[in-house]
Amino acid sequence: MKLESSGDIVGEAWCSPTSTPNHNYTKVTPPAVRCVGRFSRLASLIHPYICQYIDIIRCHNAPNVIVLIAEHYKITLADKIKENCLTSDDSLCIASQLTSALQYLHSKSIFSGMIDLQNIIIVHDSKILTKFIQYGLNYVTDDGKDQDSLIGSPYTLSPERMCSINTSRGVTAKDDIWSLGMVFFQILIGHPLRDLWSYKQFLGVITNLIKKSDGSIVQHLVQAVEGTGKLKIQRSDGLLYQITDRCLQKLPSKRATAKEILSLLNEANVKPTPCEADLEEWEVVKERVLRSTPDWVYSELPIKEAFFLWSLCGSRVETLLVKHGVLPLLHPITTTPSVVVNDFRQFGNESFRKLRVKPDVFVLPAKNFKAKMLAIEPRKLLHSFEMDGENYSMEGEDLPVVVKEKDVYYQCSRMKMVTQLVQAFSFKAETLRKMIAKDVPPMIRSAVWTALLGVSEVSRWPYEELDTLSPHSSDRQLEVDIPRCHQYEELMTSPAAHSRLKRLLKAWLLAHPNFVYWQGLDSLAAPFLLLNFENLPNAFACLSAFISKYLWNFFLKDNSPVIQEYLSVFNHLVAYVDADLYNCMKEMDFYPELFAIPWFLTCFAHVLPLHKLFHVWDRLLLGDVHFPLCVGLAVLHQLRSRLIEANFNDAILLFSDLPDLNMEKVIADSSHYYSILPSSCAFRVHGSDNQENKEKLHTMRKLTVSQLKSLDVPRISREDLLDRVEKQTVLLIDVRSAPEFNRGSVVRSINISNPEDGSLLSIQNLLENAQRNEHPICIMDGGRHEVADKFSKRLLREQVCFICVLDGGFEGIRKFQQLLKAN
Amino acid sequence: MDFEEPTLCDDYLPLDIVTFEAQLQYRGLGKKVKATIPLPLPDSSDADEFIAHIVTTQKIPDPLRPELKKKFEEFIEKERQRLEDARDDQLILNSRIEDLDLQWSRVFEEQNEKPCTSTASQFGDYFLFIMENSSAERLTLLMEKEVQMVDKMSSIVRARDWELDSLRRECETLMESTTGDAHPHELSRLNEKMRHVHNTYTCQIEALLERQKFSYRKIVATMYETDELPKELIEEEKDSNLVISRVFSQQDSFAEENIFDESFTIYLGAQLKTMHNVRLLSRKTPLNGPLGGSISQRLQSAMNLYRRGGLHGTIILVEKHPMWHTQERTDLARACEKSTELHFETLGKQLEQVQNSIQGANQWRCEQSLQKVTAGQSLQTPFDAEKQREECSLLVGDLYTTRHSNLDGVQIIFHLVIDNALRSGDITSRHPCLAGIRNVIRACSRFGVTSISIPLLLVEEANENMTVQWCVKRAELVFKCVKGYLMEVCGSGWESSAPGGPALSHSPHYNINFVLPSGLGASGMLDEVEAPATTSIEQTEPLQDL
Repeated sequence: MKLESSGDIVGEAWCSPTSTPNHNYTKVTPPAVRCVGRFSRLASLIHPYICQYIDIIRCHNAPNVIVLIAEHYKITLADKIKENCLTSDDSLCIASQLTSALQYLHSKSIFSGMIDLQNIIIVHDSKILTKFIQYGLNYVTDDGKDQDSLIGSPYTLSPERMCSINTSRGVTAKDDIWSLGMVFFQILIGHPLRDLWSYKQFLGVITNLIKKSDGSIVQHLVQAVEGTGKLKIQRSDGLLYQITDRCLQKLPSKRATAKEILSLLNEANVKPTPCEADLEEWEVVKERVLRSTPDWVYSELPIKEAFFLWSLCGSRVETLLVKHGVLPLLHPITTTPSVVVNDFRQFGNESFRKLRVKPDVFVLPAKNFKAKMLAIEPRKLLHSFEMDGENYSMEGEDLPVVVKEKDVYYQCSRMKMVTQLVQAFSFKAETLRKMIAKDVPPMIRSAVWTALLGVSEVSRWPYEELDTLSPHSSDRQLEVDIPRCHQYEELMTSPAAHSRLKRLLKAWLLAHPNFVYWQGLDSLAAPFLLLNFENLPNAFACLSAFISKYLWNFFLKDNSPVIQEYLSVFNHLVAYVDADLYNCMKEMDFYPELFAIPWFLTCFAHVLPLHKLFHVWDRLLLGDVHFPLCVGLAVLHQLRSRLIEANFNDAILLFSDLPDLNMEKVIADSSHYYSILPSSCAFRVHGSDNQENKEKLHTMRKLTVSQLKSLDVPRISREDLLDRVEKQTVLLIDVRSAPEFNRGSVVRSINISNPEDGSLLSIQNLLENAQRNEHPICIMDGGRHEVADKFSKRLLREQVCFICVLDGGFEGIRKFQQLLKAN
Repeated sequence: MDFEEPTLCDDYLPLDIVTFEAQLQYRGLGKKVKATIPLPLPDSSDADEFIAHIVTTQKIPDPLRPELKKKFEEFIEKERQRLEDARDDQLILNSRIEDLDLQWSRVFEEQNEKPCTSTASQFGDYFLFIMENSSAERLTLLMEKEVQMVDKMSSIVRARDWELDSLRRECETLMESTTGDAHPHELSRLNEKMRHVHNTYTCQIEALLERQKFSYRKIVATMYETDELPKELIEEEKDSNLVISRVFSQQDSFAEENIFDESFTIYLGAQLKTMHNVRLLSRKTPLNGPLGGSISQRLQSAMNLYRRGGLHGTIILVEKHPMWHTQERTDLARACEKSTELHFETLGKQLEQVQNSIQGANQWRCEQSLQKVTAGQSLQTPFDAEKQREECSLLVGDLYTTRHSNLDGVQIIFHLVIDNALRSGDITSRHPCLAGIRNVIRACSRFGVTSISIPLLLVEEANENMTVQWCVKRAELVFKCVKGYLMEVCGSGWESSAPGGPALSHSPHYNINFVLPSGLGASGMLDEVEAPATTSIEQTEPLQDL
């Protein structure tokens, strides 16, 4: 059992200082957004003796208030000390736990500044297991600069912090050591200082002690405690006393570091109690399983997933806080300033604008959540692919993705199952692909994408070795582009996101010296950054894998051959799936060059908002290198009715301002196009660096861009054709002369011997049938292609779809005797 | 390696810049490393990045990398500790520790202070609560009560105006009938009387205002506590209906048909678009006048008054002295006077507050420009603080705001300070007035104002200098700028694509009314302005480099 309630929150309020004038006219990031950017670092901290941070929420109605969601338990160390039941072994145990936690935090450059009895909680009443809470406030607010209220406790302020009252000195490691010393001291005397002195009295006492002592203040503090007459202290020279003595040195340089304290404890052979997981012997587990109550469903959930499911249950943290009066809302109309000058400098009415929120902990209610979790049938969570088979279908999996993403039951079992498959990816790749063709649970999208892109440990290595600190020729452009990249997204507006995106892009550029930065690369990297915010090496590996799979050579310095070829192929495909639309666009000289470059250069990352892009890419990653073309077709299809009626200017406007698309339909349509399209129709010379692919399609002629442009319809390879002839999913029209046809032809092929002007009536029915079944209508001539090309143009004018020309003509397939018939 | 070369965050200030030196050794391979690094490392970077930098720039062979990493990490940890210790030791040794406890007590006292609830915000809470929870009948009663109050007030104001007017006429006839200096005695008597009448009425009005405000607050408090209206109110209610209909049947002098009215929808943003309505209309004055007597209209305005979103704002162009309104008895001043301001301070008092704030603003500006001058960043002459402080006036492009609950269709007024040059001359996007409009748009986003009226030509009345070309040019400029400002406030992190992130319902949405002076309509110029105007707001690229 990890939690008492799903997640308890720490409500923290920041009132933004009015933004400072900025000479570059760039936007000034509000403090709350800066905090959001820093938070992910906190959420990535994992240690047995700290409570995990889960989420950060920027309030909508009070934009400067930030709520941190973290793991929480009820009993604090202060309560425990009051109970007076800590043995000296227990005390050392606690000391060891806290010190190791602190050492971990310090090694990550996180300095708490908030250490106090109140901020240490006891997880288990019976076992001794303590955890720090609220340790991240100082980090997330950049040493309190982004916060209104002070971070710190009056009972544990270090002398140097006291001396720096009006300066912006940040919290240091030694501040924390002092605070830890004060905690140890209170454990030693078995009494919280809070009960002996009010904070004002205590501040007086400590100021006095600092003034008169030079080394450790412990001695004096003991005397002072005894002086109150409330407490008699048994003097001890034990280990904890020594440690406390090392911690409560007046001068920071004399104080021990966390590392030193740990080694002291280790020498004395003090071990922190093994954490929960290690404790469980087989017998214990067995017993627990046998005795387990139905609440295992939620107690076994990873805490981040638990909070995600909690929010799906319909509660919103902000609403709860407002309802319980934790977050007082200001009435906007009463807060307006009297005067605004310069760069939004506000004057007047300050007192009304100041939102006073006391930083406090608020426990999220979990009744509803628990009830819902208990309502899930346990079997749904315990699916075994070995025993129950792999064709597992779930209730409601055919609903729209957006519905499924909000369905708590669906997500709960789905997350469990997909996680299982991702972990077993090397063995279950096919099952996983089948499974996520329906949808990808948002919580584990990062892991799924990493698996689908085939990213392994090795592909992450190069990242660490890239010198992203040295100036790079693209620096200037990055400085301009990054602050404009997907800025509607909260996290992307934070300085942390900007610096990371820059580092990620520079790393990619350095790792691929033959490629350059083209505008749009930033948008392309954004989804990977967001999904791997704390794991840039993985973001880097994913980005690299993605680009080499789908956008090979798109980022060459001279990428125009690649892009021109891509667009020509796209143009052919438009003719293939929608002859009518193709003719329309051709008539008004409206070519893909005018609108589709950002689509394909960024795989739609520059044109779609991220939440939609995620869904498109979920599907795209299952597809082949030409899947983006199908997405393009689907987008065009959705705009079809407006395009057909448009004139050139309207069309330009329509695309420059791409209207809201129905993504569900785009994804379904693109999957459909993907399934009906013979893969060789999308063949490109610059397709990929993958040799295997080239081998597979090597029979296609490599045409130049101008040759491609002279064509109207796609070409099909003989392999694809023969395959389809065999399966009878093609209409093959042979346009050679009748004698040639009679000498030898492909089975079930039709001969049109005078393609220039002969009547098409004879094949009318066949054409209609093929179009209805969406089978390719392949035109074949001897091998010089002239006749076939002409005939294809003729059919296209007749609005016939699914036309393609056999590459290489009859000559190419002459040797495949099994499908030929000789008359 | 040089620490200066990498680009670092703006607000990052290292404690010190130190030199890292190490002798790396791996079997036969040896190499000396030297690098200067800032400590603590900036948040935007980490040790790994620095190591990669050192390895690349100093060509460290691969086998030495692990050792470098170990030594470097140890070094930055130790060195940071050493620097901090040294700094803090000095800090303690050099401080006077005398009254630290008192100072800190104060800090923690402030921290623990209960959030004070002022009466104003409490009233807002109450009012919002009854608006959300009371029954329709009770709210109607409340609104009717408001109307009664307004009625009383406006009848006093009317009586005063009538009496003063007749006295003034008397004066005039006296002046005309005589040859200048014949009746100085009589004239001064009349003047004296006018002053007297004015003062008496002012007292009466103030007293009534206080009374009405007090009883209104009482009613709201009672409704909040008991969900009932106070008894005496219901008693009073019976014979009041007659009055209401009488007062508001008179046509309001301010109300005027919009001569021209066209609206369309625009979408802003690169990937995720936000939708906004733009309305182009022509009106004589930016204000509609006082809030009318229709109960539904009042209710609607009251419903949104204390909420985020749903507030209406308008920009009016003003002189640089805030007291201009009361001294010149502008449309605004007269409209405000007509009925009781039950929620906020009177216009006069609000303007006084503005006047006080101007001092602070000018003071701040003075300090800023002094700083710049001393830092050598600016060659301008220092801001003349003394002069400005004496005058207590604003600069072109500054704005001040007032709040109103008794005006029709507007709750927040942004007073934008302009100069005469705007009436005829050409301006660029760098004109301070446009910076003022930018501040208005930013204020709208911050204070939940979702409808805003902007004088499109930055001129309130048509004049003969305004040719068609001039109008089109000015309109295009304002359109472009407003579009850019809107994109700025809309395109900043209102959506989160993190799982379970905020829903799209938070997407910002604004109604922008561009108001053209009505004189333009008469000359038939409107249609000519409209066509280019519509295309320009739909198609133009917003100005990015503002």
